[in-house]
Amino acid sequence: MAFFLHIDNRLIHGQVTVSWCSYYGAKRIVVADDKVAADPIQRIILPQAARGLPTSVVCIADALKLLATLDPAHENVLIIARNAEGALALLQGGLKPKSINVGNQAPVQGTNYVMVLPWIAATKEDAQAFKAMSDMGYKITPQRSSSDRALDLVELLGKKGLL
Amino acid sequence: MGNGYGIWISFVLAVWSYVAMIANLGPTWLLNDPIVSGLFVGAVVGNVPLGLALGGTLELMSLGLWTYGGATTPDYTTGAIVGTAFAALSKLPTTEAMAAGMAVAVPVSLFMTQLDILGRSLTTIFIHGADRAVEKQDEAAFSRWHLLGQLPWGLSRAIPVFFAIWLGSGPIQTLITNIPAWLTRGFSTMGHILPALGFGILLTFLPIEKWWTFFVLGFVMFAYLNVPLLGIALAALAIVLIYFSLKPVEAAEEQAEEAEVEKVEQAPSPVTHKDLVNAMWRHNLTLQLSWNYERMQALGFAWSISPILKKVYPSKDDYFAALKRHMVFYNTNPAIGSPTIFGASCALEEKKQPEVGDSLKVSLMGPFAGIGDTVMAILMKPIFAVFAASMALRGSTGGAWLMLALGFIWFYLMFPGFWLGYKQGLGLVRQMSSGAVTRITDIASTAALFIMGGFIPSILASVKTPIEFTKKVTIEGKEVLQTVKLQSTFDAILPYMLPLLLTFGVYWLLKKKHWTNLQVLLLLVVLGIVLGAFKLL
Repeated sequence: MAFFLHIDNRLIHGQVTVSWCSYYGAKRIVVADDKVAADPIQRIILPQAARGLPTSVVCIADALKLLATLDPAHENVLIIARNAEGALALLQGGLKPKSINVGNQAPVQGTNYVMVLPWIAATKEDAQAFKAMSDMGYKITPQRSSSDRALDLVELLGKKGLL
Repeated sequence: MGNGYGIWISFVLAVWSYVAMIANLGPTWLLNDPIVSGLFVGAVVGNVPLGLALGGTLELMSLGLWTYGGATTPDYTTGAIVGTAFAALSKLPTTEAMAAGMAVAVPVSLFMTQLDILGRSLTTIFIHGADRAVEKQDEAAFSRWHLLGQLPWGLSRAIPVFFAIWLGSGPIQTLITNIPAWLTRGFSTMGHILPALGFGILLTFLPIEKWWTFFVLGFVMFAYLNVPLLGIALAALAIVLIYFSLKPVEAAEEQAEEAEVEKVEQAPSPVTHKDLVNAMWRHNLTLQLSWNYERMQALGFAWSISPILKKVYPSKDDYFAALKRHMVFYNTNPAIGSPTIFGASCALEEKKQPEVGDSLKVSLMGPFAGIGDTVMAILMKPIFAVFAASMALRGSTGGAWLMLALGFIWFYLMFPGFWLGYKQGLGLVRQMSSGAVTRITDIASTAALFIMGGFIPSILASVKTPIEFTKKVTIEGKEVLQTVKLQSTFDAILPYMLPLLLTFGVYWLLKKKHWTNLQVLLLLVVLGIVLGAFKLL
C-alpha cells in the first residue's frame, strides 16, 4: 500500500485508467496541479473519467494537505502531476511516493524543448526538476504503460545534453 | 528450394497491407483485423480456411490489446498476412499448415513492432512541415503534409510485406515443408494456448476483483448449463442492465457548476451547414492519418477544422493564427470521443469563443479517451472478436464480415457524435458531470466480465491433456490394470479447469508479478511447444 506519483500532461486518460490504476491497484486518484484546479471545466470533467475511482482535483498545496490525511498503509493512491515542476513541488512539500513515472509530456509550443523519447518532451528547466527529484533518491521511469521498458529518465536527459 | 510467390502476388499483398492500415487509421474500418486480412490473403493464395483459422487465433491473442494513447502492440495484422501466405505454400492440411503459420506469424508480429515505432516517429517530420506551412501561410502545403502523413504508416507495412513474400517465400517454403512432426505438434499446442494471453490481458483491465460474481455467472451458464455464446451475451446484457437499474445512482462528487461563459452577442453566423458537413467528413475520414508521437492527432484536428476557421476568420493573418492555435497536442479516442469534442470545438469557434473552446478540448480529450477506450476495447471489440474468431476457426467467413461490421458501426457512430457535440457545445460539461460516464463504463465492464466467464472456457476448450496412466484396481478380488484419463479426473473436479488455470495464471503473472505482455507471450510459446512436442497437452 503506497502513494504512486505519475507525471502526465493528459492527466486522466486511457493509459491511466486502464493500465496504471490496475497496475498499482489504486483505489483513489489525486490530480495535483494549480492550473488544472483553477479550471472549472477540468474540475468537473476529470473525476468523471476515472472509471469510478474517487478522484480529487486540487491545487498542489491542497493536495499535500489532503494526502497528509490519507494513510498510505491503508490504500494505494495514484497522484497525478501535470509536469515536472508540479511533481517537484509535491516532493518538496513532503510527499514520499513509492515510485515516480512519467507518462506523456507533450511539447509546449514556444518553449525550447527536446524530444527525449518520442512521447516525452523536456526543456532545460524540466530536466533540472527531474534531476532534483532523482537527487532525492528516486528512479524516474518514462513508461507510457507498464509494458514499456523501465528506463532511467535522468540518464536519458543527460544523454540528450539537457543536464 | 520451393518456388515461392511471384512479384504480382507480393505486390497485391503489399497493397492490401497499406490499404488496411490506412483504412483503420482514417475511418476506423477494420480491414486490418487479423481475420479480415486472413480472409483476403487466404482468397489470394487459394487457402481461405487457413487464412481464417490463423486470423482467428491471432484475433484471440490480441483480445485485450488496444493502442492506448499510441502505445505499440504486436502487429498481428502483418503476422496474419505473412503467416497465411507462407503456410499456404506448404500444401499441408489446415491444422498442420495452421501450426506452421503460427510459427511464422508470431515472430513477424513481434518484429513489426519495431517498424511501427519507426512509422510513428517518421510522421513527426510531417507535423513540423505543417508548422512551417502555417508560418508561410501556405494552405496547399499544409493540406499536403497532413494527407501525406499516411505514407510512413502504410509503407512501414507494405514494404516489409512485399519483400518478405517475394524473397522470403521460397526459402520458407522449404523450411515449412520439412518441419518434423513433433515440432508441428508443438506449434499446434502453442496455437491452442496463446488465446489465453489475450484473455489474461483483458482481465487485467476489468474490475474482476470487485465484480467477480458476474464472471462466475457467465462461467456457470456455459460450463454447466451449456448455453450457447449468443445466449450468454444476451443474458449478460439483461442481467447487468437490471443490476444497474436497481442500484441507486451515486450522487456525483461535485455538483455541476456553471462554467463561466461570457454571453456573446449572437451575430449571424458565417458558417454554413455545408461547412460543418465538410469539417465533419474531414475529421471522420482522416483524423489520424498524420498521427505522430509528438502531437498525435493535432494536425488531423487542425486540418479538419480549417473550413470553419476560414469562414470565421476572413483575414488571412487571423485564419492562420487560429490554425496555429489548433496545432497543439491532441489525442483521444478517434471514434467514440473525438467527433463529439470536434463538434463542440466547431460550435465554440463559430461563436468566437476560442479560449473556451481550447480549454474544453484539453479537458475533454482525456475523459473521452477513457470512456471511448473502455466501450470500444473492453466491451465491443472483445465480444465481436470472440464470436468472429470462433466462426473463423470453424472455417466460416462470417467472422470476417462480423469484424468488418464492427468497424463500420464505429465509423457510423462518429456522425451522431459530431452533431451531439456541435449542438451541446459547452453543455457537454454538464452532461458529463451527471455521473453517466461512470455508469456507462461500469455497465460495459461488468457485461464484459459476465460474457468472458462463458467465452474463456468455450474458446480454450481444446486445452486438454491426453495424459493417461494405468493403475491397479481390485475388482471382485482380482487385480486388474485400468487406464485412467487424467483429463476426466480434472473434469470431475471442475469442468474447464485447465483453461481457467491457464487464463488466471496469465492474469496472475501480468497483474501480480508485473510481467510484461512480451514475457508472458514468450513463456506461452515455449510452454506450448514443449508440452505439445511431448504430448502432454
